[in-house]
Amino acid sequence: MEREWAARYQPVALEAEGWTGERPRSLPERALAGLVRFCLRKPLGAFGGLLVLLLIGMALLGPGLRMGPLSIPRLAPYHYNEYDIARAHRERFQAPSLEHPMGTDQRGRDVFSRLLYGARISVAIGLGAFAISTVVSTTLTLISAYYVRSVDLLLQRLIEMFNFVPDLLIIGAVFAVKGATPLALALVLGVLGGLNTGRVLRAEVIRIRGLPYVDASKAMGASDWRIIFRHILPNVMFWIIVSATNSVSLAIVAEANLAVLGFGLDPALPTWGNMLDEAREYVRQAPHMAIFPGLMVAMTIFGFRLLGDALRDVLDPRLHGARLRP
Amino acid sequence: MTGYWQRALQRRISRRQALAALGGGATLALVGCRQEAPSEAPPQAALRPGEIPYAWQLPDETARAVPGGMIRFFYTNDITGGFDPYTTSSRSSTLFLVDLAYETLLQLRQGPGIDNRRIENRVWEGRLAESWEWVDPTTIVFKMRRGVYFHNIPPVNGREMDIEDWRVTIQRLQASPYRVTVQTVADLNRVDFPDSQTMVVRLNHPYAPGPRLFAYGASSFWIMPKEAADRMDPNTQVIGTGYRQLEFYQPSVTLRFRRHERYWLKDRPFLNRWDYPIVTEKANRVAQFIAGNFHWYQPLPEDLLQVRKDVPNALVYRADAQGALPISFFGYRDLATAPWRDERVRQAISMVIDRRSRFEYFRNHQELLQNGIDQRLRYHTHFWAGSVFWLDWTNGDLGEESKFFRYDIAEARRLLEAAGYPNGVDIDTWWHTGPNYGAQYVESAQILNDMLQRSGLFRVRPHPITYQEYLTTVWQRRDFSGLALVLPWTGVDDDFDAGLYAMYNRKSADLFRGLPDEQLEAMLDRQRAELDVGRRTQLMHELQRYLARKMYVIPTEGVYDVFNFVYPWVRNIGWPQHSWWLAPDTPGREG
Repeated sequence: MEREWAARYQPVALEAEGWTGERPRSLPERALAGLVRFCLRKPLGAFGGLLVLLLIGMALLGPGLRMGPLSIPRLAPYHYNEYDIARAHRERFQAPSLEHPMGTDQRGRDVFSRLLYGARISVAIGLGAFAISTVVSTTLTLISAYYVRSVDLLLQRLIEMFNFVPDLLIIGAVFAVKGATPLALALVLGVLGGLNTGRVLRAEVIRIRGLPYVDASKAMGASDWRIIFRHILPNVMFWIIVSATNSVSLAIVAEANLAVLGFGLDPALPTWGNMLDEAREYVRQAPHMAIFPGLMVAMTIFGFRLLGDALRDVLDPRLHGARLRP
Repeated sequence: MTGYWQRALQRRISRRQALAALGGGATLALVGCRQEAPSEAPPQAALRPGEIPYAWQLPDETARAVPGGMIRFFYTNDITGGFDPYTTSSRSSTLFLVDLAYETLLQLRQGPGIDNRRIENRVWEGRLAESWEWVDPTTIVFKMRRGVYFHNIPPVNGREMDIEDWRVTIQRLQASPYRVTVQTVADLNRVDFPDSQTMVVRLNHPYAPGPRLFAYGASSFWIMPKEAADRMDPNTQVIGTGYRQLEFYQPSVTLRFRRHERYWLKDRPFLNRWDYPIVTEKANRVAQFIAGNFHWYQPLPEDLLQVRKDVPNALVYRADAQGALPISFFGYRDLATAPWRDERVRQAISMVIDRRSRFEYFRNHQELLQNGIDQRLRYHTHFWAGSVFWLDWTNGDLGEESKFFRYDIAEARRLLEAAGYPNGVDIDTWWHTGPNYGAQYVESAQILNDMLQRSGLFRVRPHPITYQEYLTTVWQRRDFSGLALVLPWTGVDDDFDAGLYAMYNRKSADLFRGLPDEQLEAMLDRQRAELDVGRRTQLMHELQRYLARKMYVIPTEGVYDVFNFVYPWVRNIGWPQHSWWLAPDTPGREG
């Protein structure tokens, strides 16, 4: 019924808006225009986006890329584990120079190269956690909050059970079974992050579920799935996007925290957390070992936060109203 | 930097020599008065200009001692397993506390002028035992020292030690669940107390290192009061006979000891208090020492030059023979068919390890050497390099078998070809990624793994796993294929009999890391039954060469001198701490 109504009245609505029948702009054109508009309206957000792009670029190109016929040589000047133990006493703890732009570590390995390799792991963990967190929080919460009297009861108790157990214990248990791999870490951080953010999303869904237009859709015979995905999801999408950008930076910070606490990934991997953890021991002799990975973590968080904030401003319809007020 | 160091070292030695001139007379008098004077050099005679002395080379300043004051050390962990060394769940942290408050029956003679590295100077003297003697090869008789009092804490209330305390201690020892203790107990046949001052220990077999059992904390012979059996809880109370009495312990904050007023050694200790704040972060410890809040500090090699620069007035002295014995051992899962069942493959693994580079890297050797500090690295064979029977493979003392410790890829390749593996060997490597074995363990394992891989002779499949998995699968069950890397073996001592038995005798059960070998076990039994030092030395050397050939485990690294920094107002450090004292002008002397 609702679909028939939309099909019947849409042309009229377009004409009413002054559509003259000119060729509509293509998707790339619209995307470019939207991007320009976003950059002009939200320069800080654009800067955040630039940092994020830079990070993704480092992750893709730093260690080199090989996909089918496409082969891009690595950007990193050295392999992340390139050292000669016999020469380590001469090459260790070198300050930044042209040869080693970010200096060398305790074995004489190039810190810049390790950061580039580490970017791929950090981005993989961050984006992996982001994807898992988004899927978990969105699907579980939408279903849970919509069927508030049945499924919600069970799911919320399950989430509370997870919340009772310290995250470190869960991570330790998963590592014991699956090994301390980036995939396992992304999985755990994604699920835990999804469960936590889902609770806030749930409140928003419950609020929207009670609005008149949802009742109207029901009255017009719309199915539950249609109401959830057509009428509720778009109205909480801004929130999902913002929390997703947060979850990327949170996952990267969590990796660093875990490494420093001794629960991190395989120490042989050049993750930023592992680099920070190693640097603690040598902070007096070689502060650059801590400064550069620390800067990378900070820059990543900064970039994702700026981008997230700007996206929220642009996408949240409630903030649009506020901006229009004098 | 080099010039600075040369000047600094010269200045410091000059000052020490001046101290020596003052204390030298007293030292020589003391040394000369000993009944069993060990062969020793006058403290300063062995020192070359610019050389950092050992503690025993420092002058005796006892005659000028000024009693009183509080010395400030630190500790790096909490006492997590309780105070009772016989039941603790965290033996290493408890041993630290126990070693400060309890005493053993014997002790190694030490003090200014006594170089304990020389076998002829290793004299066991009475501590809580007034005297002891071998009656026959399996019987040792101890005479209890009179006038020894426990700490004045209820329910013991400072009473005099009696033979019943020894009996209760033996019973607690025999009931202890620890492997190291079981090993000790296994050597004991019977313990009798024929009178109120005598303990007769009958051993199961002639046992050359016998006196050691009653001298070192590792063997658990701390004498406890008999009240520990029923009237006090040794897990929460520490009542011993040591010159330090536990005054205060606040978890994660501090341990504080005060002077035992009725200590059996007259006029000792000189100090009133010992403060051990618990500081877990290395950077914090360094900062506190630089600020003068700790009187003593032992920097890691990478920090040494900086600390020397930050605290130029500190006195630096050497401590001898530190370092665990890292061993890499094989799993049992496919031992019957694995390439390393052949000793040539095991020898090849050993020969692709560049031991010198590894050890020098971990000890920051070259940089320190360039600054005039020689750590005197000594490389392990299968014997701990600090043991009295150790042979140096770097100068060929180990004989033909020295080559198995040298870095020689070409020879390793020839060995693999002879063993039937011309194309190299696939091997799994295992280590854990937890902090449990210290900061250096993981890096050490990674570097060894890289050395195997880069040799081109081994195709390595690394398995960095969690500590929990390592503990059960690798350490306890040995249910893995391949090589577990660089386990830091800390059950080492200067005789090394206990270490050898633990590693290579199947009776040591879960500590056993070698492969079954009856000939080796017979050699182990033969050496410990030999009471003649010369003949035992010969047997130990044979054993050492045999192990080098068999290469059942792969040892790496070695021992080294460490450098202790102490502020100049701490005096008499050539002696054990009961004779240390603080100069009257020490800042905050009374705490």
